[in-house]
Amino acid sequence: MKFENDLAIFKVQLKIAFKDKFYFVYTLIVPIFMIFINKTQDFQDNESLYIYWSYIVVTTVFNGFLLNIIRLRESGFFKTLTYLMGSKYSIVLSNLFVQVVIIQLEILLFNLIVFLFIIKVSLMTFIYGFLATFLATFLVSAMLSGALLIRIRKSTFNLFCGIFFILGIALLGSRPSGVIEYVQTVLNPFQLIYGLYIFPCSTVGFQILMMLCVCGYLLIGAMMFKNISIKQKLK
Amino acid sequence: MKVENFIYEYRLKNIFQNVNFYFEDCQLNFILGENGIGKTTILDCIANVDEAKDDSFLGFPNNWEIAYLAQENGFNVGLTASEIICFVKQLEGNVQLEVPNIIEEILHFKFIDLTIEERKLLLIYLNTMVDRELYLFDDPEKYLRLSYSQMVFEWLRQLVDLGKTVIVATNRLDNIFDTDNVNYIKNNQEVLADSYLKIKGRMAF
Repeated sequence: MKFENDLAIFKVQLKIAFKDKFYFVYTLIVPIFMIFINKTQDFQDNESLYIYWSYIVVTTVFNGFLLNIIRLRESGFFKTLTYLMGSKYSIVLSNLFVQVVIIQLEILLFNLIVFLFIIKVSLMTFIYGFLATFLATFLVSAMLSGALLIRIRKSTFNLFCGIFFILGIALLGSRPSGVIEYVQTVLNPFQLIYGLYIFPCSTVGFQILMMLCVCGYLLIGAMMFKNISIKQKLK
Repeated sequence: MKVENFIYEYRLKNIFQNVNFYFEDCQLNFILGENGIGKTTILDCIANVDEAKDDSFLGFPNNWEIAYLAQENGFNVGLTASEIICFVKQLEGNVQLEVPNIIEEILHFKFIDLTIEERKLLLIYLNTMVDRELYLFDDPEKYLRLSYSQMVFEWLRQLVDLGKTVIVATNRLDNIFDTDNVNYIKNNQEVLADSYLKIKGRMAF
């Protein structure tokens, strides 16, 4: 792996990501729109923002990282690009770092809009959002990377993604408690990332569960990353 | 570079049973055969895609010394041809080939706005730009009219002039010279490897 290759692929992927404007409609405009709709409701503290941050992180990683890698692979170009670059890991990592940059910008922009028009966001919340989002991005990428192993028809895969996405958002809004909350945290990426953001003010039991989830998913993600296939998988 | 006693099974089907391939260094080599006979499989193994290479493969360079253009490349991005070429130029090691006129003409067009033929030409050109020991092209003539495929083979022969080894998998005979080294996959048990002049009399197309 050469640094000049890594830098070149990072720059080109960043350029590609910023050229796709539609992408920002549902990763940034939708949560901004939703927070304006919900601003009349009980919006007392900065923790109310976490649910929106969770949405931004998961949708951005889902579309910008996971679906991007799958599209690249299924189109055959992942193979060609891997040999142009000399490594498949450079492509995946640069894509991930591009998503980190985009998510940080989205969350910063989102917080600024909330600060200007809805409630006063403390400097601490800005900093906390910035720092926790690094881990959140890697965690959700690791969790969703399991989808790279799926070998099904393209139409079934698209349907599966749609259901997963809608169900995930719907369940995030349900605010469960007890065992259901634990199960959802383990299985629903939106809930997992929300759980990560509320970690400092959670119960000890929930914090232990979160730590296990973080370690488990990062380990799974690392294994997926190491063995990622560059050949088409969907039928 | 050669492949000896190669056996490959996919979903309980024998793709290759004890076959041999032979490739000349610093030459244009062909893997010739009908669609679905295993041409991409052998290229994938040479390139060690998903660690597919085994002990049957002798004398091939490492992955980072190989450029490999896959058969299909749905690279649908809003970058211009010029931006994509600029990206490849930033990669370590470039071959200084003259930019062909056809590429000059499309430099300012977005990749997604190019015709399928122009996209293919650009992708082939990008793969000739990087400095590698071995170049693999899977069906480079697909989607190309005859005059364009002839132009592509001129680019590939320029690589050979620079001391590079090129392997092309194809089912077309248009651009093979009598002196080129050909590996003709007759069936899953028989591969004929020799100069095209000697092979063509034994082929059953």
